[in-house]
Amino acid sequence: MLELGGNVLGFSEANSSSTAKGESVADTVRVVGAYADIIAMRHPKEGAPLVAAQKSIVPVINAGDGGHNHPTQTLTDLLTISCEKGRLDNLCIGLCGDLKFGRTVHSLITAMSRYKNIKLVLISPKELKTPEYIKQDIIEKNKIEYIETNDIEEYIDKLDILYMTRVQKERFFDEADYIRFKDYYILNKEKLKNAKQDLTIMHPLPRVNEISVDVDDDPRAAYFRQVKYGKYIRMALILKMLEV
Amino acid sequence: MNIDSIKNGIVIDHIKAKNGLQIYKALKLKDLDCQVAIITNAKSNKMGKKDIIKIDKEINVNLDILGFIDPDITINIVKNDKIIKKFHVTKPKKIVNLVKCQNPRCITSQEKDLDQIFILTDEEKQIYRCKYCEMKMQTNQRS
Repeated sequence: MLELGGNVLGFSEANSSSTAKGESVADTVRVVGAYADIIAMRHPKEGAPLVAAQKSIVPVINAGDGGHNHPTQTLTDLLTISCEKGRLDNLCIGLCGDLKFGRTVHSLITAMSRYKNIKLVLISPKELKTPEYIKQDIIEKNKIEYIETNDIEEYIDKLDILYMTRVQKERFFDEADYIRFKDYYILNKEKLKNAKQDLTIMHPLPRVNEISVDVDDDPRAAYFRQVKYGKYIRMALILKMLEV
Repeated sequence: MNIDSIKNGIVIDHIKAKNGLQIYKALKLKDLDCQVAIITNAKSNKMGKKDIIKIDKEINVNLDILGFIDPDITINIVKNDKIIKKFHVTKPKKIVNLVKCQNPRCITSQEKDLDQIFILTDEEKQIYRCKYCEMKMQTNQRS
């Protein structure tokens, strides 16, 4: 927004907004919409941006709602894949980490299901496997070839894209479960030794330990370039929604 | 056992046995001041056992509720002792405030004034999803 010449009104955390006083989502967007031309909303409750969009007089961008959707991240991922690979079809994509609660993964699978000849390698511990509804309603319904494994190296030589995700603490009700899974996958140089030379490694960021810093200088590491693509796609989205 | 036939009103027939009371509650039939009969475990050639509800008054029943609870139901409209219209219900595309979303992360768990809305997203598999969080309705929520 700043790069487009706009200004940002906001609050750094929900506790400093009227939401903490019990204000409804509908009221919040009506009030904010009186001051702002567009609203970007990140909300822990799933479906909150939909409620906001129904009541708001200004456009609402869903900037992530719980474990449900994160559409601007998906647009970022699509732009990254398109720019890095030059195509969105004929790709073997490995998705690794928390595939159960990872909303970016669910959204990316849904988006990629529109393109031809996509193969998925779903890499996760069995407790964090891709939900059945994503497999049945998206992957199988669109006849996408897929493999599930808990071994990151097993199919790494087949991948065109490796999409790493963080195990998110806020998705676990039980801290012990989080601790058990948080360092389950750590991608490092050694694990990449059999990977293709033109592999693209992506991550929605922030990362914790799931990609070792020794991978950062590898030209295949695209996750910091991905941030820049994210800026461009969000600029484009704001322009589109403001109809300027 | 004999239950008098009705002169003007509605007969909800072919209700799956044991679903009669749920439909009675869902349609809020206790609020009516006319005669209402629920017959459970009635003999049926087609179903073995079935429930029937007879309402001795012409009222507007919520067909979406009936279609959601039991899509095999037959509705008979009776006028002057004769069935003047007979039809089946269908699964509704949308259900409002009949089932509560069970997802603790759903916005409806926080904002109680929001309508609880489920959308039929897969007609073949009869899958309903919450309009807000898209969580699939659990089978045990249906009856």
